[in-house]
Amino acid sequence: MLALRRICPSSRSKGTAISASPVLIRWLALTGVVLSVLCALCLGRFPLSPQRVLGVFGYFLHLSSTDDPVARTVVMQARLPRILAALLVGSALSCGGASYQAVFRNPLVSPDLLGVLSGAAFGAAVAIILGGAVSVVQGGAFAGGLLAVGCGLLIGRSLPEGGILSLLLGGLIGNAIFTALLSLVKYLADPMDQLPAIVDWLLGSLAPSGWQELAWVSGPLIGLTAALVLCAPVLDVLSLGDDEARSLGVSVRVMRPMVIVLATFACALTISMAGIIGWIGLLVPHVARLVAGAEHRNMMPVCALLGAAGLVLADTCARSLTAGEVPLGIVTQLFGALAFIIVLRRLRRGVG
Amino acid sequence: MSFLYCRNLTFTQPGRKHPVLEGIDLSLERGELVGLLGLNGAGKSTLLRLLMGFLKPSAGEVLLAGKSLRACSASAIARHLAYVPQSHAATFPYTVRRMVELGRVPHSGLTGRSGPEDRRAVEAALERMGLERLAERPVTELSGGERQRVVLARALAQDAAGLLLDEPMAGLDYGHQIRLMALLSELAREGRLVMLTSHRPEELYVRASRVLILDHGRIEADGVPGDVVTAQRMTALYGVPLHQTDHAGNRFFHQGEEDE
Repeated sequence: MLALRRICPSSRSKGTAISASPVLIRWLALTGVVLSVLCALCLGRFPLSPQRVLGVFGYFLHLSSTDDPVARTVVMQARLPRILAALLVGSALSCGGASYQAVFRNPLVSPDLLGVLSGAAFGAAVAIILGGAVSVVQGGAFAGGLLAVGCGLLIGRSLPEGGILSLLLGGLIGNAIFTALLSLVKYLADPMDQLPAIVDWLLGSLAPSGWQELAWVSGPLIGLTAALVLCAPVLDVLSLGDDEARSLGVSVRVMRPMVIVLATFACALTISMAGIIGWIGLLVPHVARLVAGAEHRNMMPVCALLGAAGLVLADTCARSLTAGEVPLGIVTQLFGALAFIIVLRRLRRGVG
Repeated sequence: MSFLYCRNLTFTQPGRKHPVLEGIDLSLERGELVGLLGLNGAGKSTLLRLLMGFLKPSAGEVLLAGKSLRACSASAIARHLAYVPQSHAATFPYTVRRMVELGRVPHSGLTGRSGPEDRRAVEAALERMGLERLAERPVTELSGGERQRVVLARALAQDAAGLLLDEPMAGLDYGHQIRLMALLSELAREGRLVMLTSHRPEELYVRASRVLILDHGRIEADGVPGDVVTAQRMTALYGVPLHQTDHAGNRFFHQGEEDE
């Protein structure tokens, strides 16, 4: 059913949501993903025409017999794994961000609220100092992210009052501790090779993503993102506040930590894979709400799709804007912040 | 067996010495419209939150239909008791309809699709609260009073046998206050327990079937409105000299000389 639903003048005029059928919006978002992938396959330091790209897939699917070794190498070895990684990381970060925003009842929250970024950065920096291989750095980032959030949650639990404010304060304290520890590691790092490696890693990049990384990270990442999308109705209820959620029969004590754990694992995995990619988790949920409405059941799938498309495009910019490669974290930070101005101008009423 | 029963209910804030509520014994039946009067900070909201199971009592216990609240799951409580908080802070621009639909979560489950019965309940609740025209509007764009009506509609859609409301009149315009009290007494006549906290003794005198006065964490009075909502008690409670005038089934309180 792709027909446009009755357009609601009041919500349209206030710019909170474009009132089209949720199914149509999902299809449009999916089309966006396909187009962005196609775009990313063609663009780069070695531009390929869409025909050559499609020819490579035709050859692999045994639809055509003409082999184009150059295009095949570019597409299959360099671009495709990286694009798939961008799709996974983008959707996971966006859904993680949306979940955090709902659980903390604050649309200005991003996934690093409880310290997953500072923790992951610390973990990765320690691994770099210890001279670990790429996989060790990735493991260090993942463990560091979880450790920081765990510390934040424990600190929050130990505070009186309980509830969301304690969690926020716990996260703030955990964040501060791990930021300080990261600074300490940077201070102690060898300025000739270790420090640049840390800084480079912190800027975020999908460049090292190959089929091997994808093989072990894609399963958990898809699972976590899907779980968060399925949690959408829980997010609606949790975002009402503790008493109201409980009065609707939802156990806040069980559901809130569960969502936080899922979102945190997803974010920690993305960081271990691509470093720190800011703004996606904050910005994309807002865009998704703008096009699909606030209801999480409609918004979360769109959020995942838009996050995927957005990061693919950002990564394409990162590797084709200049002769060298601009770190992806810088691209998302810059474009994200600028785009946020536009989104906030349209959303002001909804946020306020 | 009472619908909602508590004995020796005591609650002390963590880290505080003096209890907010102490030794509350209450037996609430379906069909009652119970008004709860008390000063600001007397513990009215705390009592409602204890009865809902949001807070764990420091001593005593609450029984819902004969079963300890502690042994009930959150969703089981939600099927029996609906709750309307003092105020609702809308963070996300959900539509009014979606907000009311959430009242069906205890019945249809979180992932369950809403069936025809759910849709009927939502439509009926929207209509009862006069929200049909606002149904597709985002709650963030509504005024405080309209939002309060949305939360009330959600509680109605929940279709629970008990309805606990924390100052439901606050923020409503005069017409909606009167309509709400009429609706609440209708709900009580339908066989539900309706309990509300209020700062309007005159309103409770007309509509309530039972009035409680909560003072310094204890129940100071419990009885029919005619016995409890009196000038003497109101003067003692609020610390302002008041006189009463009865007229056509209403009781008015005023300062100054007595009329009769």
